[in-house]
Amino acid sequence: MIELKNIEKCFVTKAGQTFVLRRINLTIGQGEFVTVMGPSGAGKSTLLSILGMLDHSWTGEYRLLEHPVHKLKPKERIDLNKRYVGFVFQQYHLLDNLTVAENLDIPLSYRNVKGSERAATVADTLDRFQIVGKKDLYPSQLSGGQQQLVGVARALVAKPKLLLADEPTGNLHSDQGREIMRLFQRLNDEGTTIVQVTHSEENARYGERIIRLHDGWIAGEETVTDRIGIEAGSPAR
Amino acid sequence: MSALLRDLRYALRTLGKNPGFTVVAVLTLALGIGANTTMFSVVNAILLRPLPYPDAGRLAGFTTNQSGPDLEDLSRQSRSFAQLAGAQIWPLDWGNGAEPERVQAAVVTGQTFEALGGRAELGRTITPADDRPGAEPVAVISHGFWKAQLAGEPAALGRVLLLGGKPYTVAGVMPEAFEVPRAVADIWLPFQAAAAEAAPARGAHLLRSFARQAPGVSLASAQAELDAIVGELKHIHPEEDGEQTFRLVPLQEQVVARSRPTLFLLFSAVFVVLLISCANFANLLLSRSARRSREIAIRSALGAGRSRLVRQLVAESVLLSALGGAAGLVLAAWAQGLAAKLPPVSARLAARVHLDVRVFLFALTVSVATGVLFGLLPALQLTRVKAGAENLAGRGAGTFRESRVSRGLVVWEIAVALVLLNGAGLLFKGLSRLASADPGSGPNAC
Repeated sequence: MIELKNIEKCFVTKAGQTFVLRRINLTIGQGEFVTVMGPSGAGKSTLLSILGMLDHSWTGEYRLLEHPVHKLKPKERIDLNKRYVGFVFQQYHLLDNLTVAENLDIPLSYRNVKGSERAATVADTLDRFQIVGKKDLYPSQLSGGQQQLVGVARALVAKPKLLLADEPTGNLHSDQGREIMRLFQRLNDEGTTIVQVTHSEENARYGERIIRLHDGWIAGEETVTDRIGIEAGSPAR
Repeated sequence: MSALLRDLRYALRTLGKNPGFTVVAVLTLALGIGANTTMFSVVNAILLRPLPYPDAGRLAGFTTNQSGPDLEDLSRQSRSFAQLAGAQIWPLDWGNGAEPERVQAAVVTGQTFEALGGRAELGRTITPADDRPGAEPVAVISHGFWKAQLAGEPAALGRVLLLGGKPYTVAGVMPEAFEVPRAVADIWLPFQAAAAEAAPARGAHLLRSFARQAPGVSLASAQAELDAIVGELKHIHPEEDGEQTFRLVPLQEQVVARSRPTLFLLFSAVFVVLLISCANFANLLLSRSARRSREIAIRSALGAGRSRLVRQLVAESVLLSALGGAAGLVLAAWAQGLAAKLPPVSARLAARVHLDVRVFLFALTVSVATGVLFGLLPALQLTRVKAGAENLAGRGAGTFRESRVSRGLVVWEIAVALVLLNGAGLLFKGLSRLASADPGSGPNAC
């Protein structure tokens, strides 16, 4: 589904070039649940932004479902993003002035979905995530876990093939975090490809593969099964 | 359409959650739009609306003064005019006591009121029968004079006024808004009665003349007929009329010609005020950019294209400017009295200064244009924000370019403020000179 070849990104400052990502070569298959880990500043979020086509200034080759992203213009990349990608953020990033239902409606309206169809999809999503009772509340009236639940619902409302999650449980209580991760696991079981960035080894175990980044380089790659073998104790999966 | 309504609904909610910003922005625009709407209401009353006479489009004025006999000849010979009339300011002393009062009177020819379609509020107007040698001297008075000097009593009809030592019987009272163009007065007297010596003199070109064209006759064809008659008159009376010109222009043009430059100057001044308000407004919108860059980054990440984001932001600025326009209309309604006291506005014209549909449409157009034009720059600036990790984390706001635009707007504000200050200084100096100038027509004038 995703194929990255020699992806590089750097900032040019007065002091010279500062690389954020170096020669990233990575393949992610459809239906995989991949975790990107590494210390702060390793380039995890930047890699996610490139995968989600929110970042356009990089070099290398990127293919998403056979679309050569590296050859597309920014507008075409936005269209591709709208067709295939959903985003979940650590800070939830719900729009403060919109209700829960309106927050779910926004990605659909940007995809020019008809009003009646949008209303039906939003109603289905509210029902699926069991947040019908919260539909008229504003984000500030929800707990962190509830906000992230809405964030996940919003990411999925347009039925993306690829879900990108940047520290999705970083701001949540551990119980709430586990709930969100179990939800991710269910979505993955239903066929959604997931790439998550996390610092949490526990969260990583919900996936199948771990990519480790360090100073912009891929420092290592392992499957969760390998990891289980290394560590003592039972993984979540 | 539904997307636009949704944008406006969200915009209303966003503004409602930022009352401080909203109030400052609305008041900033209200000042500029209100001043322009007020000034436009004066321009509308004086320059744009037809003169307050029935079928005013058929009224034409002569560019030079005519004598009574010339007008009579033209009236008799032409077929292009329903009525031909003339008037002139004729200040007179009223009363015969120790201190007679100077009143603003005017002499008018017999067809003046009929040409203007003026009907008396009380009694009757001056007719051709009153403007004949030997006719009973009558006077028609203004509503203001009737109220102020004659206590507004119906018994004023038939009362004898001693004007310039000659008795005139009050025949009628005109409505409040009525005036004879270019001969604004409180008392109108028949030309033959009040100016008995000048009236028969063909060389006494003292009447400011105007005509009502006959139905279906154009100004050009009336002028053509006039030229033919005048050619004959010049031939018969070469001494008195040899140098005379008889050119017609629409009466509206003639009446407003002197007011136009002053109004243009005043309108320019308030337009500069609007430009300053708009620059302030744009700066206010830019100042919010830092706080909104996160929201824009989120919307981009959710799939919003730049045009979609610009549309949303412009909807907000148009909503703000519409609110500013509404507040400006309230301000304009309050400032009507003030505007009516401006130099080019006569007391009677002031009565015509009010907010009508045209003024409302003006305010609406200015509001929408302001919202679109001055909301677009901050919107384009703000939507340069990309949905990358930096901006989503709130670390990408406040760019060099943003501060450069902001500084550019401040320079713009200072520049137009200086233009306004210079203009205001020159206008003040001009008005001071005008006020101290001798008009040559005061009580002591020869």
